[in-house]
Amino acid sequence: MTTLTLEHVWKRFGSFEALKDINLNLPSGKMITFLGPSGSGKSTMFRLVAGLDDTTEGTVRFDGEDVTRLPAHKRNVGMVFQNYALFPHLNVWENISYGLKLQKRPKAERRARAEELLDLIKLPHIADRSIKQLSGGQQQRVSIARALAMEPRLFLLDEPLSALDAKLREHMQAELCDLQQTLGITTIVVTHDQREAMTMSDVVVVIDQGEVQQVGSPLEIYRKPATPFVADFVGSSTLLEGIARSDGTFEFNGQSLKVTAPDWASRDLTPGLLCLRPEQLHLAPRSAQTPNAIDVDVSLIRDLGSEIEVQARAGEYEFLVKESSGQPLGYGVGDKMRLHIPETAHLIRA
Amino acid sequence: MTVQDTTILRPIPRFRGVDHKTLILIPPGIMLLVFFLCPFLIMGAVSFYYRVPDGFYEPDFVLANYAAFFDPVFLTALARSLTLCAVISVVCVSLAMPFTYLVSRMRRGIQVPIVILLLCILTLSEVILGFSWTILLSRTAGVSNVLVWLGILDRPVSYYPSRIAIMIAMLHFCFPFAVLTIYPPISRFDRSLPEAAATLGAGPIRAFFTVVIPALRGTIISALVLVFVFALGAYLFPQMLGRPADWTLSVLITDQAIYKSNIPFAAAMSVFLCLICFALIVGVGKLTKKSEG
Amino acid sequence: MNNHLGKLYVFGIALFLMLPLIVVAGVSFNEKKRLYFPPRGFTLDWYKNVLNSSEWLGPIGTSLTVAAIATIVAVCIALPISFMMWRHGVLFAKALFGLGLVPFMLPPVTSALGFLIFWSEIGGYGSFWATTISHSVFLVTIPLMMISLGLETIDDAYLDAASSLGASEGEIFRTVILPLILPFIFGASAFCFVLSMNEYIIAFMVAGFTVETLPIKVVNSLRYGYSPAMAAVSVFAVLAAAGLFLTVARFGDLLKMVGALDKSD
Repeated sequence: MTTLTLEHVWKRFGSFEALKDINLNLPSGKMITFLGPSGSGKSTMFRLVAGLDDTTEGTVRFDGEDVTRLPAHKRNVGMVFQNYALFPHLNVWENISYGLKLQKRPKAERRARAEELLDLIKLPHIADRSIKQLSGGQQQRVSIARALAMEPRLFLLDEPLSALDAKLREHMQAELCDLQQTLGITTIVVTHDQREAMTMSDVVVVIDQGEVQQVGSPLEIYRKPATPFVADFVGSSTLLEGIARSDGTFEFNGQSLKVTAPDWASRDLTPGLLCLRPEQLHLAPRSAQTPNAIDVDVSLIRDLGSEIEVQARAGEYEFLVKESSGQPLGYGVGDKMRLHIPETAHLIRA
Repeated sequence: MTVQDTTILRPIPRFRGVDHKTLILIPPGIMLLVFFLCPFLIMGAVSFYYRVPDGFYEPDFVLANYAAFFDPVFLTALARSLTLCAVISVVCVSLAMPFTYLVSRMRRGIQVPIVILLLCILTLSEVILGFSWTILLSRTAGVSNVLVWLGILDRPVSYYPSRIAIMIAMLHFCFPFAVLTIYPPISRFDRSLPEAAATLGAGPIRAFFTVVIPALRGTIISALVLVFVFALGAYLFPQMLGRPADWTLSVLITDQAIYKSNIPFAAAMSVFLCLICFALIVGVGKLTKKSEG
Repeated sequence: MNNHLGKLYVFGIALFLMLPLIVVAGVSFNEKKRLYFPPRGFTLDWYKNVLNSSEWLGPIGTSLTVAAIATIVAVCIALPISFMMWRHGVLFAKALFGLGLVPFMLPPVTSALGFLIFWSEIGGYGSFWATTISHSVFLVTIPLMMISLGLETIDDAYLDAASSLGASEGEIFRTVILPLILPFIFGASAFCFVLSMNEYIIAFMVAGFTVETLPIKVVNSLRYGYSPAMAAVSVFAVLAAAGLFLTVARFGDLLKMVGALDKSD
């Protein structure tokens, strides 16, 4: 069990700042994801943690111990790579016991450990196969076994599921979670897939443009996005631009909406963004005079079977509303409706 | 890892602990600098030395060895070499393009033996190949016997020494080199292009000439130059299969160095030949880089 | 139809390429000391002759020794250069790599003359080492290019994986890089070896007739008239080359080694 701490970490490639003053303190024994789009710096951060790249500035600590200058091969981290990176010149058990062989452990011990790990990943009997004979999913598991063979302090996975097909991916997500819980090992997964991050992790670190945008549980990230980027990147949302006040009102388009006042809102004019999630919203006829609502036009209706997605417009804004498919909607495309804004809607400082 | 991240990380070498490791470059460095660069530098120097009439040379700075280039014997040999090699290069690459293209689309089981055959001929000594061609073109054992047997000729004849004999042998010698030069780019060539052409109604031969050839223009130009330079290096065929009047620059250099003991003149010709080749290769390298970039 | 035309073209050229080899093999079976094709009579005496006389075995032995040492030296020069260039992007390695490509860009005669002048200046002319070292630096292009090709096929993730599993730089080289490029080293060695065995002009220029390699011996005997024995020697040379390349193809991907894209799925 290892806690991971990053203090004022910078990474520059020439004049390009890949990471800007990263400060993180991640709990031990948890499933952590680094979530961000391509080029956000998440992979850079991941490689710094693994020791595969040097930090330009700052400190990386495992359990408080400074490992910044420790090269990867002395950090004892287990890594799983996007394309698995199983050594093609070694067979399955030789791959798994590669690290043990470097430590000159006797062959019997290495073999036993490999078998034990193969049992753990539910692939017994393939110890002597060559890598080429394995399917993608099998290679994935073997690379997990190899990463765990040395009982690493941290378990690091780089886009581990991206090469698998959709069905296998969901299956492996569940299995990885199980594995992590059984072993209780601090695990970091890099992903650009927000659904994956939401379903798998205890803690999500959202990264964009070399900066940490938010750290929190999946639910926090979803319900209370800290920045417009997080609101937009995680799940779908509509952000209304307006002015937040400490009396719990949000000025939008000349209208005053009632919301829960965040602590940063003041009596003065503080620009803010109201984050509206599809499942928080619902539509009512104009005639109903719904309070705390804005006028919208229905522009698109999509029946997904399990639910109905409705798109509505108000000026330049487009809203996504999810309605249950149980009963008839009672309105159609082109209808003029009222969109109810819940008081619980989250306000982001612009 | 995402695509962008990879491209950012890639060019950054990891210098951790490299300094003392670069020491392993010292032995190979010495080998190449002493035993390869030195000979060329010395040869350059010798090309300006004074040739002592009885056979050796002494340090000096004379341009007489280069002035000897204006001798008509040398000039005709130069013109002959360049024309011969240019013809060989054009014919070789023209034959090799469709050959390589076709081979690269064949089964692995056929590709491998063909590559082995090419490698065998590429590595075979000019001595052995020249010897084989003298047999093949001879009166007693050559192809003319087959022609007699077919009733085309009355009695067997010898086809060498002649310029045609030199050309056939050099074509044979340079062809594998031409194929192996264009094999990598052709094998990497995007198959969907000719396939797209096929869906637009171009037959395979038309697709080859209208899609493959234009797309590989850079490859063809550099292959032409490389084969040209490679052909310039042939030194035995003109001797074995031709008359002294057919000798090329490479043969003249050997002749001057070994039999006429005029090392400074041989060195001057050699330097000249190197400069031609360098200029061609560097020039074409720049040209193809520009057209690709 | 076009398909057949293509095949005809390929096999026609292959036949042309094999023609001299077929004729040489043919004349080596002549019973009398004359070169007829098709051979008159059939005998393997010329092969026995070659294998039993020190006249031929001497040069064969010399060539084998020169080729073996030159190959090892060439690989030992090329490996560190290619490796340092690929792994660490060392500028000096890049410069050496460029220098190492030069021999193949220039007509061999020019290198040969350079070697001739160099060895006579420093006093090694006509020695075994003059031939061997000249061959090794002349042929260094082959291992440089092929080893670099091999290194290019190594995914960076393998190195990161080894590193994360506790391998130091040296251990990564020994346990991952070296095994992965071994087929390329082997292929380059075979190529170098065969080229050195067949190399004439440099061997001739730096040693005259004192270090009599096989090609020099063949040229020498050609002066005294042709004999099927020379054809037999040529057949041995072709078989040796073909055998080595076949072995390389068995243990590695020959097509990849000559620079083709990996098409195996």
